[in-house]
Amino acid sequence: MNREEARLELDATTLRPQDASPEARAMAESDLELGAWLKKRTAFDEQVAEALAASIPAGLRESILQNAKRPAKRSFRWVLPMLAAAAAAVVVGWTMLWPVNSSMPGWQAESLAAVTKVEYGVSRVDHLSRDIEAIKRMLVADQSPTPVRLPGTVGTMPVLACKRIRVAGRPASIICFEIEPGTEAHLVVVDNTGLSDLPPQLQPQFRTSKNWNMASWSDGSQTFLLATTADEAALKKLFGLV
Amino acid sequence: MEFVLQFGFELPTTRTIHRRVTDLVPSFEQIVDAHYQGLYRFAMSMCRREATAQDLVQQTFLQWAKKGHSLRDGTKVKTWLFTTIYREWLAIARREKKYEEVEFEPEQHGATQHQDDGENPRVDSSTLQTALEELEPNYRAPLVLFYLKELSYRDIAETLGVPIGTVMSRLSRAKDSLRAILRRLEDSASSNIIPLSAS
Repeated sequence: MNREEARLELDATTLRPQDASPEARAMAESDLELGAWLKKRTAFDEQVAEALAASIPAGLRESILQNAKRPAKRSFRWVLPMLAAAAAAVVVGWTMLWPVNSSMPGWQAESLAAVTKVEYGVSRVDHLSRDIEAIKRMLVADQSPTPVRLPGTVGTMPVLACKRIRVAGRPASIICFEIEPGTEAHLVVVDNTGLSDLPPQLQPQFRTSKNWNMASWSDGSQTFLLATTADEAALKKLFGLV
Repeated sequence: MEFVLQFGFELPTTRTIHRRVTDLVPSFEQIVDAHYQGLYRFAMSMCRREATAQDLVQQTFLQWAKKGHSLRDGTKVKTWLFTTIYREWLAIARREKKYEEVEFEPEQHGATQHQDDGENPRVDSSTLQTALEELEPNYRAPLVLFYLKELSYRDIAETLGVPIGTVMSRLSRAKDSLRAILRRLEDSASSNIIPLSAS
């Protein structure tokens, strides 16, 4: 440490001499001129420090403590944008998941829309039962169609629930099955009298839309749509095609 | 009845973690009591308006109430508060365009480096405030913090966000300048005295 460095350090610590390094302090003791300068400088600094002790406004302390206790004002500026963003996210999410498209026949689009709402909990089922016969009785009581006959092993899946809906202005039914553990398959039954764009008789047509796999067929005056988010193989297996 | 959990393996011996008292952050009220006066004096010297200085202090403690819990080291409370109030003041000064980084111009401030000959000028509170107002803010800030005796020069450097060497040289130059300004004010005051003539 040279004299100038010591001078700077001593000057920065006149009021807090404990902050000065032993080296700087030693120089102040050994260098008489530096020591005298430090003494005079310290006297001046002490005078200034004393003069700086300005009066404090009365009540400032109490005011600080009171303000800190007061609950902070909540800003609502961000609430609207947040709500808008959340709504936009829901719309975008729903659009991404919504499987219905314009290329589908009207009856199929309406059926799939109803099934999608049930799958995502937007629409509640009417009855819960593990007994297919009980489900049929409930649908009959609700004046909704029940399947006369089901192909392959469709009718052997464990049943879960049913719901009455309307498709093309007429009563229709949704019967929910468990196609795989934790995954549902929803069967829509609709009276096809007067409907167009129907699938062929007793010959399932398979189709995929978004994450949905569907099979549709007609059997006499009834037309069916079986839709599931399970994979295509699981669906085809029900018809003995895998 | 006493329940004893059997783990099937030996748990390590419990070891007490010793915390230093300085590691603990004091209560809000203790912090206010310890620092509100120093903060107010610093704010007052920087903005020169009582109402603004009070607002700055209030704002600083509100910031502490909101964010202070994140400070783990109780020894840093003071530096945190002074850093916050300085930044709050900087924001106001920049909005009002009263602050810009300027290099020291000794001639402008009447300072001559190392020229410490002569007696120390007289200092009183009002003359000191007038003299401080003549200093550029980036010299006034370390000088006021220095005279408040609250922070070491290292802490002042941290508070103002400048290197330690810069703080030391700014302090030295600002003190020289302050002495020169005070001397000038003293001379000007004595020349304005009209002697009473004996009748």
